[in-house]
Amino acid sequence: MALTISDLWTRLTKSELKESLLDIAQASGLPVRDWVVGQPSERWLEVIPRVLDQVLGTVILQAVQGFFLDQATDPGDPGDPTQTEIKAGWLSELGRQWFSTERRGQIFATGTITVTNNNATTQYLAPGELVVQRSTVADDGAYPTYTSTADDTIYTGPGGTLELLPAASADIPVQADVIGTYSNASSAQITVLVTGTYGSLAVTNAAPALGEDREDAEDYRERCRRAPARTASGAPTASYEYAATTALDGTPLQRPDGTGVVSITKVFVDDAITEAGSVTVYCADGDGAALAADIDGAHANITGIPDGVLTEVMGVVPGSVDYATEPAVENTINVVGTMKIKTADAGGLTALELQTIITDALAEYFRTFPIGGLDQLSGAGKLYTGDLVGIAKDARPGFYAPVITTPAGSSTNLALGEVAELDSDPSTDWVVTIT
Amino acid sequence: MADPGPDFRDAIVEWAPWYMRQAWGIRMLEAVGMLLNALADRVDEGRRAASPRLCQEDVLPYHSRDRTIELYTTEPIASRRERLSNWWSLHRHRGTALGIMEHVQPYFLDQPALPRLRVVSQDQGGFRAQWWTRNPDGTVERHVEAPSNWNYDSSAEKATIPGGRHWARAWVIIYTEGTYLDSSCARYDDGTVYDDGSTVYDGIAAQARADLIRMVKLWRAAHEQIWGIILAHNPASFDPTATAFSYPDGSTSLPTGSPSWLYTIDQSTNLATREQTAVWLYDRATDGA
Repeated sequence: MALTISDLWTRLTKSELKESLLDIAQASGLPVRDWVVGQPSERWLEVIPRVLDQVLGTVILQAVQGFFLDQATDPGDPGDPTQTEIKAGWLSELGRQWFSTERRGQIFATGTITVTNNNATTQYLAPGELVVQRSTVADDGAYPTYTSTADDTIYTGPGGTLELLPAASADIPVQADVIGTYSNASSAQITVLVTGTYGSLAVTNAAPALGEDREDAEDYRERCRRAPARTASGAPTASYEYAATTALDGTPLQRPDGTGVVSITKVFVDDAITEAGSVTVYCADGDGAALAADIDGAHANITGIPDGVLTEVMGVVPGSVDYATEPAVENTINVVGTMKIKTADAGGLTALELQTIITDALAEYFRTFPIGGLDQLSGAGKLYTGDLVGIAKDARPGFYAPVITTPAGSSTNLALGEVAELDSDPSTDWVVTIT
Repeated sequence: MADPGPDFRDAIVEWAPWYMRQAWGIRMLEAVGMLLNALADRVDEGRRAASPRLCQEDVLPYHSRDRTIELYTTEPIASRRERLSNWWSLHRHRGTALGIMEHVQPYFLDQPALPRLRVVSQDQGGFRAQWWTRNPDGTVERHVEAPSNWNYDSSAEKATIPGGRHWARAWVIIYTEGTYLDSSCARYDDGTVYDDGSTVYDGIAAQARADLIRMVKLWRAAHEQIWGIILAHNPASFDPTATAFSYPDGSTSLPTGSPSWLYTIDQSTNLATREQTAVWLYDRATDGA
C-alpha cells in the first residue's frame, strides 16, 4: 500500500516499529512473540526499533516536513521536535531558498539612557561596563537588564572612556541583555543602576527601548505564499493585493510619513470590473476605511512613485492603465438583538458583560469581513444576518435563543468597494436575559 | 526513477559473520533487513514528496497551497504536475498574454497533441491588433497587424476615453486540433444554420468549461477584460496576418466591427456574424464578467 503524505510526516512510534519488526520476523517463522523477555535475542527486538526511532524521528521526519511550509518549523517554534533555542532551521531555509523571503529574526531592545553623576568625583565610564535595569518586573518575575554599548563619538575620554564630571549628565546607548520583546521598556522605565563600581549615578531613558520577537511562523508562511505575486511582470490582481500591504522586500509596507507600518488588512481590487483598462484598489483596516496615511503608502507602492520614507517602491501599474487607490466606503450596519443564557452558564457575569462578549465577537467578525461582502457579483455582495446570529450565539457557550432584529432582512447588500462597519452598543443594542 | 539502493535483506545477511547466519539467526537478520527495506522506501517516498513531478498525487494539493497554483477538478494529473513544477515561471509571466497561454496549455497534456493557443487584443481606436501565439512545441510568436485585423465590435465609447484603453480587452483562441475538444465539442449547429432547434453549444462538460475559463481569467492582467475564449476547429482560421473576408452566409473570418461580433446574429440582417468553424467557450457579452 502506497504511503500517503500524512504517513510520511507522521513520526512512527517505537512500538509501531517494534510491531513491524515482529510481524516480519513472525512471517519468517520465528516465534518472536514467545521469546522470553530479557533474553539477548528478545532484547534485540527492543534495541533495533529504538535506534530506528531516533533516525526516523529527527533526521528523516524533519527532512520530509522541511519541504512544506505548513509542516516545516524552525527551532523554537511550536511543534519543532529538536530544541527550544530560537534560531533558523528548515522553515527559514525553505522560505529563503524557494520563496526568496527572509524570516524576520529577534532583535535586541536598544535605546539611550541619560546618566547623571551624583558623586563628588569624576567618573570614567567604559562601554560594556555599565549595567542598568528596568524598574518594572517581567512576566517571569525577573527585571530585564541592559548594558552600555560602544560608541566612538561618546567614549572619547582617557582610555576610550566617557569622562563624567560631578553633577554632569550624558546620553549613552544601551542594549538589552535578553533578545526580543522581553526587555522592551517604556519611557522612564530604565531607572535602576546595577553596576556598583561607579558610585551614585542616576539613570533614566527618555524614549522607549524596543526589541522584536522572531516573526510568527504562520505570518512568515503566509508571506512566503504571497511572495510570487511580487515577481509578476504583467500586473495581475494578485500583485495589486500584495503591493497594497507589503514592500518589495516582503516586509510590511511603511507609511510615507514615517509613522509606522500601514494598517491595511483588507484589500479589494476592482480589476476592470467597472471598465476595461481601469483598476481601483479599495483598502480598509479592522475598523473600517483605511486611513489617509495608509492609502498614501499603498498608492506609492502600487504606482511605483516614491513618497516620503518610501523610496524603494514596487510599481505595479502599467503605463496605460487608469489607476486609483481609494479608502473603502464604509457601510455602517447597526446590529440589534437579544440572547438568553442560564444562570449556571453565565458564570457570574452581568448581563452587560455578556452583551459585551457578543459585541466583541461581532466586532471580530467585522474586522476580517471582506470588502464587498460574500457571494460577490462584480464586486458587490452581501452580509448575511444569519451569519451574525451564529457569531452572536457562539460568542459564549450556553447562549441560546439568539434573535437579531436589526438588520431586519436576511442579508444586507454591500456595493463594490464598500466595507461593513459594525455599529452595535452592548448596553443599548443588546439584551441578554439570564434565566 | 529512484535508485533502488541496497537490498538490506540480502546485504545484512551477507555482512553478518557465519555464526549469526545459523538457524534462527539468519531469519532474524532477514527480518531486520526487510524492516530496513521498508524504511528505505519510506525515505525515498519522502524525498519524492518534495517534487511535484515525482510525488504521490495526494501531495499535489500541498504543493498547490504553498505555490499558490490552483488545481482544477477536470485538470489531468500531468498538467497539475507541470504547472506546479513551473510555478515561478508561471507567476513571473502572470498578467501577460504569454502567461495566460503558459498557464492553459498544460491542461491538454493528456491529449494526443497540445493545442496551439493565441491571445489577440486590439487598441481602442482599432488601429492595431496584437497577436501572441504559443505553438504546440512551446515556441512563441508575436505579431502586430496595422491597421487592425481584429475590430470586435467597433466599441465607440472606449475610443472616446482620453488616453485610450490600449490592449485592455483580450480574446483567447484555443485550436482544438489533436485534442478531445476537436471531436466532442459541438459547433454552431451544422455550421451553416445558426440555430436548428437544439442546443447551440453543448460539447464540453460544464466543469471543464468552468475550469478553463478560470484558468484564463486568473492569469490575466488586472486591467484587462477577457471578452472571449474561442475554440477554433479550423487550424487555418484566425490567422494573425490575414485580412478579414466575408462568407456567403454573411459572417466574416475575422471581426471587422461590422457586423459586430458582439452578437452571434447581426441584429439588422439576421445573418451570422462570427467565424462559423469556431465555438465561443466563453463569451463575455452573454456570459457576463
